[in-house]
Amino acid sequence: MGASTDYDVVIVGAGIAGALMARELARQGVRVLILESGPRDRDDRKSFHETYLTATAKLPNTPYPPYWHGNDPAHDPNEEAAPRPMTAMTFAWPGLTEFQKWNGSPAKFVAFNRQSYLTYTTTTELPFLSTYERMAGGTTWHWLGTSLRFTERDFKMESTYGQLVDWPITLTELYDDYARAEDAIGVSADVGDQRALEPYLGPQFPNGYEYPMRRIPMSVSDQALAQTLQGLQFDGQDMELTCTPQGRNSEYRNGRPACQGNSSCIPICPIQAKYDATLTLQEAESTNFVTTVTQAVVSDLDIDANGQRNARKLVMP
Amino acid sequence: MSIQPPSAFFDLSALLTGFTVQTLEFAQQSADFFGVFDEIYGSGHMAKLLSVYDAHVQAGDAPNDIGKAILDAGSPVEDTARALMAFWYLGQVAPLNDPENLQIPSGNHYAQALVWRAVQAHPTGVSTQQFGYWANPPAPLNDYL
Ligand SMILES: Cc1cc2nc3c(=O)[nH]c(=O)nc-3n(C[C@H](O)[C@H](O)[C@H](O)COP(=O)(O)OP(=O)(O)OC[C@H]3O[C@@H](n4cnc5c(N)ncnc54)[C@H](O)[C@@H]3O)c2cc1C
Ligand code: SF4
Repeated sequence: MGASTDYDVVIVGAGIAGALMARELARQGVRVLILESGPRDRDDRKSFHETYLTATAKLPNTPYPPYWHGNDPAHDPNEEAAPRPMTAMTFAWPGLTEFQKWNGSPAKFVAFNRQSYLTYTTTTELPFLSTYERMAGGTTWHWLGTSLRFTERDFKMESTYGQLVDWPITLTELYDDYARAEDAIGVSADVGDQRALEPYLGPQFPNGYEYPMRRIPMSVSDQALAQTLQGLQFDGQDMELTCTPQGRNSEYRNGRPACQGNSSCIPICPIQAKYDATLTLQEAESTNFVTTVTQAVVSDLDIDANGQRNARKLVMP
Repeated sequence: MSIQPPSAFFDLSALLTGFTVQTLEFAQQSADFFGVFDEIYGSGHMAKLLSVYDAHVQAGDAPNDIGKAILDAGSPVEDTARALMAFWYLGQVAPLNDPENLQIPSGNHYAQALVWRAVQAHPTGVSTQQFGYWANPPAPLNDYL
C-alpha cells in the first residue's frame, strides 16, 4: 500500500453513503481509507451490460458478480467471499405472519441465512426485503434513481402516528443538505410539481429552490393515466399524477449524457445517465486523500472497554 | 466470419415471422441467427427444414400453404420451424434435446430479436432513440416490419 498507510478515518463500504462521506472528509484534508468487499468495474460497464443482455431472466442482480442467481442447491454461498441476497430470495422470504408462526422452528430462516450475507435472524421482525450489490459503487448500480425528500411527518413519526420515534432534527434544518445531495446525485425534477403536493405533505423546499435539472417528460402511458385520473377522488382528495424527482440526467451534465430511455435503470444504465456512486467515489479519489481497497471484506470490529472501535479483521481474497 | 446463409433461409424466415426479408438480413448482419441456430439447436436440423421448404417451392405451392404445411409437418421439421421462429422473435434458443437450457447467444441476438419491432419499441437496455422520445406515441407498426 505504499509509504503512507496512516489514515484518519476508515470507511467500510464504497456505496453512496461511504463515497459521499469520503468525498466530504477528503475535501477537508482528512485522509480516508475505504475498504470495499466487492470488486471494481474494470471495463466501463460493458461486460455488465452484455451479461444483462444475454441473461434469460433479467433481475436487479443480474449484471453483477457473484453470478449466482438461481436456486442451485449445489451452490454454497459460504464459498463466496462476498455473497449477497438474490432477487428470487426476496420473493421467497416468508411474510410477517409466517415469520411469527415459524418462530419456534427456525429451519427455513437458517437455510436463508446460509444463502445471504445479511443477518436475518428468527428474532428479526422486519427482515431486509431487498437486494444490494457488492461492488465499488454499491447498490446505486441497480437503484432506480427516484430521489424523494422526506416529509415533515417522517421526522415526527411518534408524535404524529404513535409509531417509531421522533427525530431530534427537522426537515428545514436539512434543506441545505438535501440541496447538496440532489446536486451530487444530479436530480431532474420540477419543483412546481413537488410543491403541488404541499397541501398533503407540508412544505419540503425553501423559497426559490430549483432542482439541478428540468424534469424528465411524462411518457405516453403516464399522460394517459393522468388524463384518466382527472376528476377522480380518493378519500375526499382530488387525484392527480405528478412526476417524481429522478436521479438521472435530463440534459448533459458533469460529463454525463441525458437519459436516452434505455428503460433498464434497474439493473443497469448503459450510458451512466443515471447516477451511481462510482461517480462520487471518483470525485473522492481525485482529491488524493482517499484510498480504496477493493475485495477487502471487513469481518470483525473490536470494541474496547471505552466503546472505541480500535481494530478490525480483514478478509482479502 | 460466419457462413453466408442461403436465400431460402431468409425467405422461409420471412414466411414464418411475418417480417420482410430485408429486416431479417439486417438482423443477420448484426447477429448470426443462421449459424448459431445450428450450433445450439443441433446441427443438420436447419438443412432438413430448408430442404422441405425448397421442395414445396419447387412444387409451386403458395407461400401460405407452405407455412401451414411446415407447421403441421410433425417432428422434427415442425419443431425446428417453431424453434427458429422463437429464436427470431426472442433471440433465445435451446438445444433440441435439452429444452430447459435456453440461451441468448449474444447481446446482439437479444437486441435484434423481432419482438421489439413487433411491440414498436427498442430493446430494454439498447435504445437508439433520443431523450424524451417516450413522450410521443411510437411510429406505426409498418415502419418496423
Ligand atoms: C432494486 C432497487 C431499487 C432501488 N431504487 C431506489 C430509488 O429509486 N430511490 C432510492 O432512494 N433508493 C433506492 N434503492 C435503495 C438504494 O439503492 C440504497 O438504499 C442505497 O444505494 C444504499 O447505499 P449505501 O451506501 O447505504 O449501501 P450500499 O450501496 O449497499 O453499499 C454498501 C457497500 O458496502 C460494502 N460492504 C458491505 N459489507 C461489507 C464488509 N463487511 N466489508 C467491506 N465492505 C462491505 C458492499 O460491498 C457495498 O459496496 C433501491 C434499491 C434496490 C435494491
Ligand atoms: S438511459 Fe435508460 S437506463 Fe439510463 S437512465 Fe435513461 S432510462 Fe435509465
